[in-house]
Amino acid sequence: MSISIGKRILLGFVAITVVVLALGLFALDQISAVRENMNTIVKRDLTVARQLDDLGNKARDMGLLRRNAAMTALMRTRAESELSQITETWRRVAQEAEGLFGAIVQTTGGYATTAPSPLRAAAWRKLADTTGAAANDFRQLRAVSEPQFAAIAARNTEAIEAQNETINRMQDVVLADIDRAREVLDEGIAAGQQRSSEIYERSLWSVILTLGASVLLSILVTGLIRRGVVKPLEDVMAFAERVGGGDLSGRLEARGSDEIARLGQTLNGMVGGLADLARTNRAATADLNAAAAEIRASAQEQAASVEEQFAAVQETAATVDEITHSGAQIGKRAGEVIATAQSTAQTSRAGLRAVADTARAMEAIREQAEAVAGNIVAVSEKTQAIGDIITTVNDISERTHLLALNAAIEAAAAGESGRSFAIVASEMKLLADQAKAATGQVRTILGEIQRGINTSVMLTEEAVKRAAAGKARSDTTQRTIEEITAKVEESVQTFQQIVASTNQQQLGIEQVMGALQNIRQASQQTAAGTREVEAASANLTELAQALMTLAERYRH
Amino acid sequence: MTPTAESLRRQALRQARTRALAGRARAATRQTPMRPFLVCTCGGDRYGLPLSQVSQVLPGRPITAVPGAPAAVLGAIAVSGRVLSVLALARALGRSSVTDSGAGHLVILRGSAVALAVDRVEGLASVAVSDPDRPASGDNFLDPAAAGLSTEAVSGYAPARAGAGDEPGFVAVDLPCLLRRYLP
Repeated sequence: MSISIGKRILLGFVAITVVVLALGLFALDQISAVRENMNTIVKRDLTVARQLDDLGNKARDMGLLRRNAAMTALMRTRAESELSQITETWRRVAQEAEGLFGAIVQTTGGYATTAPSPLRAAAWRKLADTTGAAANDFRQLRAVSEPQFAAIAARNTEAIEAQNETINRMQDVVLADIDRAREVLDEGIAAGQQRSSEIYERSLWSVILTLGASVLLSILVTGLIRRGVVKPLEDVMAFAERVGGGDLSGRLEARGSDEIARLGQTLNGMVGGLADLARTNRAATADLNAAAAEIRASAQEQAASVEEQFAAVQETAATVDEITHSGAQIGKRAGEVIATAQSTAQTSRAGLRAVADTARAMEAIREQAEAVAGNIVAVSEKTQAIGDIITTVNDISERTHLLALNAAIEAAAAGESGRSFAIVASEMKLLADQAKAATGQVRTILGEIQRGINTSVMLTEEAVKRAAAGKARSDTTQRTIEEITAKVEESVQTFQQIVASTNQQQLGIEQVMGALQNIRQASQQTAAGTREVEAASANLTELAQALMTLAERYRH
Repeated sequence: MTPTAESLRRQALRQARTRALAGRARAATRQTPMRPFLVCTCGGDRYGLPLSQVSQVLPGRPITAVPGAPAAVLGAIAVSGRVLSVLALARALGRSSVTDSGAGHLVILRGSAVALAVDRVEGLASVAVSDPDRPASGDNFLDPAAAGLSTEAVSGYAPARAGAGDEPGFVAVDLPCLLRRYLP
């Protein structure tokens, strides 16, 4: 059922309005029916009553006229014209009464046919019969009266008197008829009243029934509205109560597209948002708890470090006191160092002179070593000449060797006669070989000499280089000692500055002592502040835990 | 050199000479026929040429190359108006791996226009032989086959003699056999 709630309520109201409208219209209809009935009854009854009254009056008028005519005739004093006028009037009235009777009969007959109830119709019919009977009696009366009037016209007293009794009796009959007709009419009126009360009762009952039906309908409509509107709303309210109680895990079942469904979707969205919020809130509270704990730990650490700082300040104060003493000692030692440095400067000047002498000696050594090197080179050239001579001797010995061999060959070719020559050749060869061996030894010795010369040359060059290096080092030493002297003098100045600085330092240390006092006071203040911070962080931790408890209410 | 070393050296020379002279006297007294050999060195090898077949010993000189010659023939030289073929002794004996040093000695053979190029001529050596007709025979020569040497152009091997100095032994070369392959 996807009719919206507004339309449902509107539909209920429309139904109830329609029922009430129909009820009102029905009641109005009933009222108009009653009124119309009453009007009809009253109009008819009044019309007939008035006609009956007229009829009665005319009947009495006719009697009076007849009596007047009779008296007039009896008195004989009256003019004839008066008499005839009365007669004429009587006849006209009689004629009118005759017409009235006819009208009443006709009217009541018509009413009898159109009467709304059979009782009334019977009453009308009875009235018509009664009136018809009365009309007959009247016609008899008229017929009886005509002769009297003729007698009146003839002024016959006897005749008048004779017929008077009959006519009076007849007239009484007519009057009685009219009275009876009135009684009948009264009965009709009573029947009309009864009819009216009947109609009233019927209308009352029908209105009461319709009212009951509309009450039932209204109850039905209310029940439908309750079932279609209030029930879903109660579900939503129950859901809202659950949400209020902290259960964010549920979801409202939202079907259809009516307002409840939309409300359900909106509530689901809201609960989802609330769940997110609760989750975020819980996480944030946990973070807050951790942060508060960290702050507390930091505050405690800070308190500890402040105490350490305090102790450090005390130590620093003691140290600064020691520094003051040691500064005084530094000043004293610096004065001693200045005296020592001045004596050092004098010593280094003496060293400078000694180093200059050393450099000169080194230079002399180098020159002598160069001279030795030149001599060794000359010796080496001589050994070269010796080598040439040895080569020559070797060549000679080689030639002698070949010569001896050829001589031996020739001696062998000469046979027995060349035997002594062969011996000479053998001796020659032996000499040549010995000379060759000797030159070989000389060459070996000469090689050793040349190697020794080369070594000597290298050693001499090394000596020259070392002498030069010694000279250079002596120069370096000289420059170094000069620099040392300059630096010692600078050191003297520096130490003098140190003494001055130490004096200033003493002043500065006194200021530092004052500052340390201030730091000590500040540390005490910091310690107090840290204790407050710790207390505040403890409160914060409690708050965070309370928040955690609050956040735990929301299940999601 | 110290004077003591000099005196020692001279003393050693004199003693060697005395020993040589004494050996000469002993050799003269022996009646066994001796064959003299000219001992040459080629690389690390020592070769003995029969002295009777040697004409002259010359110092090394430039050799004119001969085109189309065998590998052992180094070229030709002119000596006293004669043109001689120069034969490398070590290559001719199949010792081709021995390198010929440029400055060496030339041994001119008797009876043929051939000079043998050797590194150096050492000297003379006399070996006792049993048969004068055969160049290398007798107790002082080892059979080449028994000594593990090639028999071609080699007549024998003279080992080092124990008594006659400390010279090492030499290979006695059979010159006619050697030259037969290079001469027509």
